[in-house]
Formats: sequence, C-alpha cells, structure tokens
Amino acid sequence: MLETRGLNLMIGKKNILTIPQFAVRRGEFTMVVGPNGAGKSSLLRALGGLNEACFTSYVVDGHARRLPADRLHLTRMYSHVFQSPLLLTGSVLENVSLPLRLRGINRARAAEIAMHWLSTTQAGALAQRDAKTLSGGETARVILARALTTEPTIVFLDEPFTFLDVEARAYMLRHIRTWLAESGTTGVMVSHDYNEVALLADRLVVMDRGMIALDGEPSVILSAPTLPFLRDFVSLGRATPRWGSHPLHSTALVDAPAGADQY
Amino acid sequence: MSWVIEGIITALRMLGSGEGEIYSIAWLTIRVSGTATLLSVLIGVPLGAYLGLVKFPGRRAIQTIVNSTLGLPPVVVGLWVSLLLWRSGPLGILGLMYTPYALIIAGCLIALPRVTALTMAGVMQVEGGLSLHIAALGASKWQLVWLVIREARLSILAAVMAGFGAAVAEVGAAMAVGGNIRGQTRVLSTAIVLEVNRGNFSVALALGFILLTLSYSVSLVLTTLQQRRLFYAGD
Repeated sequence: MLETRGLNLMIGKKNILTIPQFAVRRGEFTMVVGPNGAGKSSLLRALGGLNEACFTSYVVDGHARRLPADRLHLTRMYSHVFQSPLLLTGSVLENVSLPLRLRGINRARAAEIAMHWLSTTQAGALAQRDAKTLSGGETARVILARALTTEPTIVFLDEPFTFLDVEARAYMLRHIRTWLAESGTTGVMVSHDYNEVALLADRLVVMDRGMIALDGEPSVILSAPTLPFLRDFVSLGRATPRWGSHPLHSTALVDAPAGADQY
Repeated sequence: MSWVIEGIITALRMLGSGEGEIYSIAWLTIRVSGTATLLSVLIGVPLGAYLGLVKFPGRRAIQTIVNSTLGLPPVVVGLWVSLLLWRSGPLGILGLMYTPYALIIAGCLIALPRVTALTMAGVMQVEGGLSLHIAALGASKWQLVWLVIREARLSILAAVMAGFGAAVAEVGAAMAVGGNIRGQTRVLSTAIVLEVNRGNFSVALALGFILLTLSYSVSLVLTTLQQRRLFYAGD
C-alpha cells in the first residue's frame, strides 16, 4: 500500500535516515525496534510526511505522491500516536471529533463517529470530561480513539504505551489489533518491549544508526539474534515475566499468540 | 484624601447630570480605543503567531525588534504619525490630521507592539511540539494557526487587554495627532491633562475615575471571555 524509495533525512549536516527501500503492506502489523537514536521515530514521521525527509519515490496504492506538496493529503490519510500524548483544550468528545472537523465533517456526524470510537476503546464514559483531567490510561484510550476516528489507512504508533501502568498496557495490547481490524487500518509501531513485539508483530524491522539492519519475520529474527542490541533485547525480554503470567495479575491479561514462546 | 472623595462625587455628579459633553468624550474614547485595539489585534495576533510558530532565517532578530518596541514612547509614535499625516507629509492628502482617524492610527501603533509581542510569547510558550501534533491530526496551515492561537488564548486575551490599556490611557500621541479639539478629538486622557492644566483637579480626578471604570469594564468582559470554555475548531 505504501512503497518508498531513496528515503533520506538530514538535520543540519547529520544524516538521520538513509533507507533505500521501504514498504508498508496492508493489514500487516509492522513493529520497529532499535537502540535509542537509531531513527525509529524519525522513520515514522518521515513515512507520515511529518518531517523534512526526501524521497526519490513515494507511492501510495500505485499513485505517486510528492512531498511536501502532498503533506496535507497524507496527514489526512494516516494517523499518528506519539510517545507523549497531547490532548487540546476542550472535552474528550471535542478532541476525538477534531480530526473529522478538520476534514470538514459537520459537528453532529463527527460527534457520532467519535462516540463510536470512544465506546470501542472503552472510553465512552469519558466523552464529556475535560480532556486535561484524564489519567494516563484514559488518555491513551482517548488518543487511540482519536487516531481511529478517521479510519486511516495506516496508523503510526510511536511507543504509545510507554507511560502506561501494567494493567492499562495489557488492556491496550489485548485490544489494539481488533480495533485496527475494525477500522481497516494497518499499524506501524515503534516499541522497546520484547513482549509487545512477541504479541503483536507480523513483521519486525530492526533499525541501527538511521538504517534498516534487519527486516523480516519476528520469529526468524528473534530466534537467532545477530546484532548486539538484538541479543540484549531478546535476553532482557525473556527475563521479564510474560504477558499472561505476570505475578501482579491472577488472571491472564493477554493471550500470547501461537508460537510466541519460541522467539 | 478629600480630593479623592471630591473626585468621585464630581464624577458621579457629572455622569448623573446627563451632561452631553462627558458622554460624548467617553463615547469617542471607547470608539477610538476600541477601533485601534481591534486593528492592532487583526494585525498583531496573526503576526505574533507567525513569529512564534514559523522558523525562518533572521527570526530571532525580528523577535528582538518586536520585543524592543514594547518600550516605544507613545509621544514618539505621535510625532511620527504627525509627520506622516501633516499637510505636507506623505499622507497629508488624506486630511486625517486632527481627526478621530489620526487618533485611531496612533492608538493602533501604540497597541500593536504589545499585542504582537505578547501573542508571540504566548504561542511560543504553548508550542513545544504542539504544531507537530496538530499537523498530524490533518490540519491545514490555517487550521493549525487557529488551533495554536486557541491553545494560547489566555496569553492572547492578556495581550488584547494590554493593547487596549495602552490605547485608552495614552496621552502624548493623542495630543500630537488629535490636538485635543473640543467636540472632535477630545478623549478622556487628553481631557484629564487639560483639566489638570486649568487647575480643576476634582474634574480631572472625576474624568480619571470614568476612564478607570471604562478600562475596568472592558477588562471584565475580556477576562470573562478568557475564562470561558472555548468554541470548537472550525466553528
């Protein structure tokens, strides 16, 4: 659905990203991992048209797009969930309706769609609350509802669950794929968490110093980690209690996917 | 202390007597200061938002210039506006000197630096990645500017109050470009100076109280607006 060639991002004289070829395939949940400063967030923003990255070719569903000329078009096709969530002044419902209002959808219809997604993410009861008064877990659900209201083709998730407590994170992980499937959205997510990768990824992209070091099946990459970062990632991840058998929880929080244990 | 009490009593008596002149002076003050503030908001808020949001070479130098204009003496503004509007000046052909329009121009130029600089500061304070988040929601450039202004509304309404306060209280420029002509360009601030020069301190104090009441009323309206929940984007 999205194919890019010759992705290059420089900030000043520093080369941030050099990615000769990258594709996002419909329905596939791609997860991006890598050490700090590897360029993961920059990659997501570049693909979403949110930074000054250059492409030799940027093709969406067979149509060539130009950046920055098509930036507005792209930002209206995709959604982004950033690491530090931000809700604007107003109620939760106003915030979740906002992307639709920006696209010219009338207030009543936008509120109706927003309510649907708030209910889907179990945040319907928060609709009339002041957005600035939500807890971390509530904010995460509202932010995700806002990201899905426009039924984007791709949602770019940049460590969306970093600041959530275990319970809220487990809840989000348990449901996120269902929500994406319902809105027909493809997910690309940055994570530092082995368990998140084991649970969600259809495809794993490992980044290092602004380049893609590995790209393929998570089971293949994680079963024989070749990079020092990846070895630490896997060994630390295996040492951490698995989802579903966390000592803090008496019941299974998340059903691990078949084959997750083999990583 | 008796001067103050006498001033308040005189103010109430002047207002109560229904004397036409005091009402026409107060009304002209509202019209001139209100129009000047409105113009300064129309120019200063977008300009301040632009300077606070958009990065371009030389931005810091322009920001410094804008901040330095906060200390611009009104009498200097009056002098420049006079030179422009004077019969032999570049805009003399318009015949605006010693008219309320000249007062509006001077008032606008006095309010503009405050509105621009405080808007710029307010926008920069809320920015911190805000525009990236808003752009990611699918906002066009204008929608983005509007939403950032909305988020910075507390600072911007403070900027409007500061602009109105400067325009309504200003004397030097109003004297220079308006001439304090009775029935034409006499506003509350210039009327106060006139009464002080005549030695009518109680009348001057009375006019001062009326000016303060006027300024307080406008601030009350703006503060109420400032504390209110804001409207919806796109409305």
